[in-house]
Amino acid sequence: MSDIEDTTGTTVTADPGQAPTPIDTSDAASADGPAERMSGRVRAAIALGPFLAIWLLWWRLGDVFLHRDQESKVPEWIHEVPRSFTVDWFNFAGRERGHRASGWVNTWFDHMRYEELLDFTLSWNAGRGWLLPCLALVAFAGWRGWQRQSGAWMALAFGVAWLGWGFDLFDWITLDATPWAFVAAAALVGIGISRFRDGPDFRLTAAATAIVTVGWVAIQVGNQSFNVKGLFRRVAGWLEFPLDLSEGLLISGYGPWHLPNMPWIPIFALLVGGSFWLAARDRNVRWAVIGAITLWFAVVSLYEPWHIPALPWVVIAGLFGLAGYRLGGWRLALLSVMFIAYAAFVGDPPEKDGAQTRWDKTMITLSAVMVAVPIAALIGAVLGVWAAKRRRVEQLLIPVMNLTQAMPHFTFLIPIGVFIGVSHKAGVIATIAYAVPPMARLTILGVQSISKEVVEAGVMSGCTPRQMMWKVELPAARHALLVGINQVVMECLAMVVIASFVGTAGLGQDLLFRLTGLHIGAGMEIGIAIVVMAITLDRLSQALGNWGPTHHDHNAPFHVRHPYLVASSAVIMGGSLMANLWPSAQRVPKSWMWGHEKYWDAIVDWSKTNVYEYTIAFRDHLESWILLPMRDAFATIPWIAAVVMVFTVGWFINGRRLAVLASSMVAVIALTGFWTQAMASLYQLTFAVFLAAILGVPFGIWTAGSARRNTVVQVILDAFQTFPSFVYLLPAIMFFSVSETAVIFAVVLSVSVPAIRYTIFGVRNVPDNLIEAATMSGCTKRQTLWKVKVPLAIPEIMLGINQTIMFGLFMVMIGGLIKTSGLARELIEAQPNVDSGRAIVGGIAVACIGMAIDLLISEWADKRKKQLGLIEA
Amino acid sequence: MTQPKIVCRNVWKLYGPDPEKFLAAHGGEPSVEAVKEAGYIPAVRDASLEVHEGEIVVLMGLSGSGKSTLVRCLSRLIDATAGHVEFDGQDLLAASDKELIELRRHKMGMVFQHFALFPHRTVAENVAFPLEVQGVDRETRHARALEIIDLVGLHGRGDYYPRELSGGQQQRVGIGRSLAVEPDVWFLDEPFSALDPLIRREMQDEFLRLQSTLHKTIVFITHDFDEAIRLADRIAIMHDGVIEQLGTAEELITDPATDYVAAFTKDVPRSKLLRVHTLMGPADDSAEGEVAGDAKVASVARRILNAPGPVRVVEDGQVVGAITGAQVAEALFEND
Repeated sequence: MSDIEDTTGTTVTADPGQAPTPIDTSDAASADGPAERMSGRVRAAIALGPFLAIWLLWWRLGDVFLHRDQESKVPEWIHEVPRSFTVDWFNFAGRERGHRASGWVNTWFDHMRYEELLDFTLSWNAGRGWLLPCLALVAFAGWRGWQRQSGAWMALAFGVAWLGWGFDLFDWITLDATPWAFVAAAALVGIGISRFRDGPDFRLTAAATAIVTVGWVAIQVGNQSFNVKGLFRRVAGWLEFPLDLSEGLLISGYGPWHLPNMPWIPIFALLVGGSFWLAARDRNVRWAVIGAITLWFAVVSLYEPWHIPALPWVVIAGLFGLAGYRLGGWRLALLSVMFIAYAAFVGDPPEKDGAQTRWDKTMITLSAVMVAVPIAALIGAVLGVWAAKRRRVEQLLIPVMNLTQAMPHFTFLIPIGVFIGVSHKAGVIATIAYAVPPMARLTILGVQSISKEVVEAGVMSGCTPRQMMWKVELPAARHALLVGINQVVMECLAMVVIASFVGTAGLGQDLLFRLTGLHIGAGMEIGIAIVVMAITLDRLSQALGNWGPTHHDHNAPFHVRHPYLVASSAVIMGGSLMANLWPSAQRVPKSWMWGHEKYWDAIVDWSKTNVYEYTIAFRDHLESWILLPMRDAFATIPWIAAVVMVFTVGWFINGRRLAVLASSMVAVIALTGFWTQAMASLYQLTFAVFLAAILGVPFGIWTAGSARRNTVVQVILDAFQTFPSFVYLLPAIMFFSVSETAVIFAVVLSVSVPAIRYTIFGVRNVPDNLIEAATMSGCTKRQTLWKVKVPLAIPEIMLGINQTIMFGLFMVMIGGLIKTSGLARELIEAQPNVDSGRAIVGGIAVACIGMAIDLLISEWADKRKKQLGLIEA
Repeated sequence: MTQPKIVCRNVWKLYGPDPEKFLAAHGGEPSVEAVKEAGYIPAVRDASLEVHEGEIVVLMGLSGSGKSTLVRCLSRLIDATAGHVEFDGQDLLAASDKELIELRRHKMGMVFQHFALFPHRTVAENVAFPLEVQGVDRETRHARALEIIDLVGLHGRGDYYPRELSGGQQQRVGIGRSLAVEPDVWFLDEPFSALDPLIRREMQDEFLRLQSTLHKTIVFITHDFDEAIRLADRIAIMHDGVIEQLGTAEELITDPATDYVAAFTKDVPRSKLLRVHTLMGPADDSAEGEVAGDAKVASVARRILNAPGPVRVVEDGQVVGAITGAQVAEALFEND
């Protein structure tokens, strides 16, 4: 900060009666932290002054002198980082036709797509890209191992050399190396390393290392390599198996295949009878499950040989009902059955025979969720446990997750589309990628919060590290893991529509088509289907988290000890029998289906003639008087001014570290070359968040005033919170057609929930003794609210605003689906152009906006809470 | 005398950056002031201790005195910064991870203050857990678990989950789990502190009953002096990470090594601890009646006070001295 800025700052916000600023400012600039004795007004003046000064100067003067006078040497880079600086780093395929991408992100991706990675790295890295560092590692580890006679170092050398050789070997002998070959190779190397590390014979390890190193180098000299894209596609190919399995179960069925001609009835009778007998003798649940599955297999394949049909809808409904009843009583059972009923009966039947019905689409989405959730949960849990155990890994993982979680959903799609191709499984992979971080976070939290004594009890029982993880830590962190699974489910549902950009089938794709075609009625119908599904799965997985085991008498009969196992077997068998007797129990006949889209369309039509007039008039006024001027104003914010302001604000909040961190994020946005676009998005965000806060915070305070209001509002908020965000686009289009106002309306709708929720939480969580003290001081209710509760709740309310901003940022990007502008436009236009660079860089810009704001607000709230004594310093 | 089960010599545990270097820089024996000035937290300072086979040693001290840290150094749940710990003659600090796991699987058991039961396992599965991780087959370990459950008085509760039990019952499970592998050495970290006073008393009796049949070597932590007196063969009083004194309860009272120990033991009812032979005077011919020399004063006080004159003190059939009512009264009412 220079003196000039300070003086301009004070003159711009010239306010008679202010404290003398110059003395304090020099102090703030030189001291290592914020000068605590400065008054709030002075600090605001210092923070905002230079910003407003630069902005106004640029806006007024730049407009007058610069744009009209091309010869002027007024530095334009005050406003936007010139293209010549951003081009070489992140250039993107521009909107002009024929402009080929040339920034290195695109170049790199293009090479990975079309060319051999090794060839590329050869030219890129001046030398044999991977080979040199790898060989250096092998050489170093080998030397170290030889010198110290250490098996561990030698094993490392062995492992690296083997992996390199193995990869090249598979490619060289043009084995169509299935992914499993790579897995086998990795497993072998893993086993080898663990063996050799503790192995007694050091010379053996050394010899093996030498052999694989020589083998590898020999192949490398032959200049063979493998293709990254091919590898990714193979890895993605693994997903086909679970997807086929779950889709077969839910819709398509398995087969047809031919059972060889054998006496199947006695064989099945033997198998089923045998496993049930074993189950009865050993009181073993596993045998009972095997028996039940065999029985189901027998029943269906004997009734309809060579083809195992999908589960009949009655069975799926019954199972959902049972699961609901088990986890949350009859209310949850009712909700679950309603979800299935809506999927089965609602929606106009397709005109063409054999076309997918609503039921089919729902089941495709459900099966995608069923596959994505366990995989994402497993990856997340493993990462989380690893990070919880090793501080290094945690330090590495947390910032990466902060970045990925702050990136909009679209960013993930293009790289995945590039490497895996547009397909159903690409969407599932995108979903998994998006759902892993929350799971990892909750796992870290869960594992780290296991009571220290329980861990010690495990150690004192003589657990090996592996036993500790599987038998003690993961089960003890069960609750956090289940909350994580709930999060994963919600993330998956949030991705169902967005992932259909890369080809995920199901409800999301349907909704996307209807949205882009502006079929509001059908869109509403599908939107409701998704919402019902989201609420059901959310409640089910939440209930799973609260569920604890209870003992049963050891000698009780089987059906008492395992009532739900017996009941679900009964449902499966009964349902399958029913389906064999009546086809309408297998698939819902078309005559039973009922679509209500025409009513929605009627409402839309009616409102077009009656309501539209007013909403459109309102919209036009809003846009011409507020939105457009605001947008233009934001568009002229110079990046330097923003950096300076964020730096000062950060400094005042928490000193130099925060100042540098937050302002460098703003600088990154400028360097991406997306500054104007970012400001256009920021204007939408600012206006929407402002509106949401104006509406939400007072409402939250009002709600918190009474327990009854609170319970009612919480129920509504719970429901709203589970809505996947794109659903809010539907009413927005209904009222405001395709426009900026519609986007902002959708954003306000979706982000009011956190604002209200945090406000209620903050107000209701004010410590009781303070309220008692206020009451005993003779405060009226109103005085208690305004003089005690609200001031203490402000940090929490600010955190709510922070959440509002984060959600809002995503929602602004999703709003790009109906009206594109700013960064949303870059992200969405990048999709059909397969412009990886643009999507990634745009995503980074969005993430930077989010992370900078998040840093500032959450550190402020933290500091304020400590000052108020709400949390420990 | 046989070799002690656990030997711990000059054990230090400092928390802070690179404590080994700091200790070495101060010749291994920094003063408290030096440690605190350098910003380290001295959890255990220069502790030395021997525990013999079949003995109950109680580590006693207020919270933050380092007793839990010391016991964790003895079981190597945490690594001592400096010093020497021997377990059955084996250098514990030099033991590899594998050896440690073996030791813990077969020779050590530990009971925790807050029970540390695995919430996802039934009582039987909790008790059988140490056997399970050793790889004992299901039948054997289940049978053993049922035996132990009976031993700790939880017959028929094997299928319950921990949260379905009361605090006292939960700690019985914790005790059962620590006994499942028949360890030689039993560490108990304030096992009864989280329980109600009445239950605590009952559990102490239970503990003594178990010990009378099992004869384990025991390191027991408590902050409750009454508990220490009831259970201990020897008591180590810890203060600020230092073992202030190690001795029998009687020694602590009659001969406190430091002011801290004296202050600590000031309010203890001495008559319940002191034996007759500690108080008695020289043999007196006028004495009538007789009491045993190793009887606690409180248990014979009434008889001595009711006697007209001094009472003979007898040990091993020999008269070793005499005790008067005045001496007893002094012990009884000294605290007043």
